[in-house]
Amino acid sequence: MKKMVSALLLLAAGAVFAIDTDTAKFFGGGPTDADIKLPADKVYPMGRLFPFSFYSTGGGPRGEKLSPEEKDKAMKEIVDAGASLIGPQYELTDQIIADAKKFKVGAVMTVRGIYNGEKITKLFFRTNTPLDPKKLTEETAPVIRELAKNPEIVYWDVTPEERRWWKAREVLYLKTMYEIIKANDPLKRPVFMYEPGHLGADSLAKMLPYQDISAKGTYTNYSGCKEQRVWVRYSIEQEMKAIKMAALGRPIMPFILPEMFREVPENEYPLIESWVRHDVYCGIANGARGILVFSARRRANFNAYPKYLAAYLRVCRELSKGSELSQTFLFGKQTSDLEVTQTSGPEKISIKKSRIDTEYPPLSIAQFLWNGARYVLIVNSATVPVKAVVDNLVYGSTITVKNLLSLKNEQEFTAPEGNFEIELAPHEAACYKIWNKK
Amino acid sequence: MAALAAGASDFFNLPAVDPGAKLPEDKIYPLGRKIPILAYAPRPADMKNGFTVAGPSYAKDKDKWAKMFEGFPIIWTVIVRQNGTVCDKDFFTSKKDALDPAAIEADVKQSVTAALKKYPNIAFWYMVPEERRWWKKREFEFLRIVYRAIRKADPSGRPVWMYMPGHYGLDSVAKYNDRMDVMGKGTYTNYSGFKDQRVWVRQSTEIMVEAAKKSGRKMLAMPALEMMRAPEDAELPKVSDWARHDVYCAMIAGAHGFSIFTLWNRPNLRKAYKNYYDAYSRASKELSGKNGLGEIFLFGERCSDLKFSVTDGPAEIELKQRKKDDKQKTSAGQKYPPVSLADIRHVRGRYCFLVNSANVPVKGALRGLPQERIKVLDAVSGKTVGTADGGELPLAFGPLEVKLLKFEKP
Repeated sequence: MKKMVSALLLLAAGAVFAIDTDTAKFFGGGPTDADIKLPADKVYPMGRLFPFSFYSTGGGPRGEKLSPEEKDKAMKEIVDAGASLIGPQYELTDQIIADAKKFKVGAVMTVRGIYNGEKITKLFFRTNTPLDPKKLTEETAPVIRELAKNPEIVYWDVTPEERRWWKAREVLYLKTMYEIIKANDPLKRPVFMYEPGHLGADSLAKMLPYQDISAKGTYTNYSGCKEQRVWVRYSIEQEMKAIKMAALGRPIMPFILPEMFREVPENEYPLIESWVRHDVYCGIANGARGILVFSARRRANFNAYPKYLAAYLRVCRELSKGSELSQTFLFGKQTSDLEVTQTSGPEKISIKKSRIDTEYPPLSIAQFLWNGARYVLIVNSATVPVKAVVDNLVYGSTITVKNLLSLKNEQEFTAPEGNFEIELAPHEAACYKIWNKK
Repeated sequence: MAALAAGASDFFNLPAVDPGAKLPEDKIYPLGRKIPILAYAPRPADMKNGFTVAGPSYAKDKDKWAKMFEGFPIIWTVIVRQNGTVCDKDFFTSKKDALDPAAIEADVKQSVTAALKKYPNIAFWYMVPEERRWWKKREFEFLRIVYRAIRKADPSGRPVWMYMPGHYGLDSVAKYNDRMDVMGKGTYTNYSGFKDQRVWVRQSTEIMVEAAKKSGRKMLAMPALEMMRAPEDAELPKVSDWARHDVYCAMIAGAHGFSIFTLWNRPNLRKAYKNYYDAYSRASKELSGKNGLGEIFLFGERCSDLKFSVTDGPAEIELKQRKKDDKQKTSAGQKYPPVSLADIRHVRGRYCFLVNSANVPVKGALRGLPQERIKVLDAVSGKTVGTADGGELPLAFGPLEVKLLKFEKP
């Protein structure tokens, strides 16, 4: 009897100070691989490939072209690393469909309006020539109709880019181009136009009714934020806010355009990999679902190019076809029940620029539930190491953790009692997979 | 060379005074001489099997529970209420009420005073909810307030403890050393993924010992050992060795006692329960019984005359685990000798306790003994098991084997 009393007393305890050991609940309820019915070889949102492209792959220094062999070599290198797309290709646009066919990759097709028998360039908007949308449609639609027959095209990129919301004729141009593409592409593939990096949410929102992708420059060094890389967070937040403000009732995909075009002092070359990884994953942690690197064109006096390219290709591989991370970020359910508490490092980091004066905590965090596992993406935007504790895990001896973005071949480890400590190097990105290893 | 033997007269020069001599025999250390061996969720019958303190208990009706253990030392769980609200796990996770130190202090004072009136057999205080986190200001402050309030309400010095998770490194554990008296973190070897690297018990205990030392005051290091996870059927014969290894590995590494989580015969542990129970009970009896070894560990003087040299078996074993801050002892690939030992001088004699943490047999020689022939006894039974000559004693260990030796002049 005493035995029974003891057991009953113990059971009564559970309610007050219980620990959570319900692994089925903790790891369940999220989408699984089988739930996603999209084709594995098409780019999101038509398929399961993570949108990852480089502008101008195979492009040469200004005024020069690479040889066909050099161009093909450059293209093969990025496709082999898992880029799901090529383009926008600017001066190589006329070859993009052939290249996409050859390398079995998607294409970001740059299109421009035809008006009075001529392609519209930036110069058109420097004149006072009136823009008749009917005439623009009549002349441009046949070109779009013809291009739309190519299944390689994944997205449409409208140029001349950077059209300005405060110029009625330019807004009309983008609006008309958007309508022409929607009317003449039976697949209704997403449309976007590059927006400059300094635009805020208010400005971006004004042009979103004529786009399906928000794609603004995220050139951290170029924008004077080399030491304030949390600006990437600020930048993608402008896109996310703009999407919300526009309230279009249809999905808009937030993309980032990280930087690969500007030389840096040689003593900073060792930092390039951490910059690249920070910028891409900081973007993703704060909502980006596509990466267009600007740009893979071989430029004169850009000796840091191989370092940048190697770093982007590594990220590209991490997000390539079928990769766990690509599927997690695209299809995982975003959660918020895990807690990440910073335990060392600066409380806040600030961005001070001409029109920005704001502060952020150093860590960007995104959590996902995918395929029966939890994922915590954490990016340190500080220039110093930061420690933190990842908390509120389920308890169990089989709860296992591994950093999928480790550059140091960190091994998996057991986290049986609800939390684990982490330390992120300056600008380090980490993605902790937490699963029940039976 | 340091291990080269001294003469027998030096070796057997025992302390004149037992530092624990004045402490009562029937009370639990540090207020008495008995080694603390805490048993979570025990039955009264368990208290005759070597375990010296009943609890912690999560029983809702604490009085009913305490009455079952009249006459036995118990650890009392201090459930705190702030202005009527129980400060349970939910209080810290869902509710955001600011702490009211005065209300907490008053509640602790009232409950501790009342408990002491009813239960003079209280030997330890247990703070709940357990695992309050140092990186949560409110939780950490809660511990500080509760600890100080208990100390104030019970100035006699019964130690205060709260369980800490097993994966905490030195930096984390040491943070708690001003808000409890026992550094007691989980040392659940199998549960934590160290089933085949049991030297982790040494590392885990050393973290607690070091964290306690950093406090600059007298604190206890008491690992919580595992008895809750079912092994594979094929592993059942290993259970006794696991439990015995873990107890003595902890004691040799400097523990002042330990707790066992848990004596509850949970359904999933039915097959392994007896093996675990018997092994823990045997070790506990060896430590806590009349003339038990607990007093040797608690009141003996640690020496460094004896060294063990491996002649057959791994010279080192590597504890592979996650790389963390280099300052913490939880760095990857930390190496240990396979055999750990405690060389202890006590008024009762000269002892050496050894444990092999390797999963394979290890042979070697214990060096540093007197050159003269000396008797080697089993420290538990007192029976002579051999002699040592010329300053060394050859020893052969099975995997995870423990040897408890006492030396005497012939």
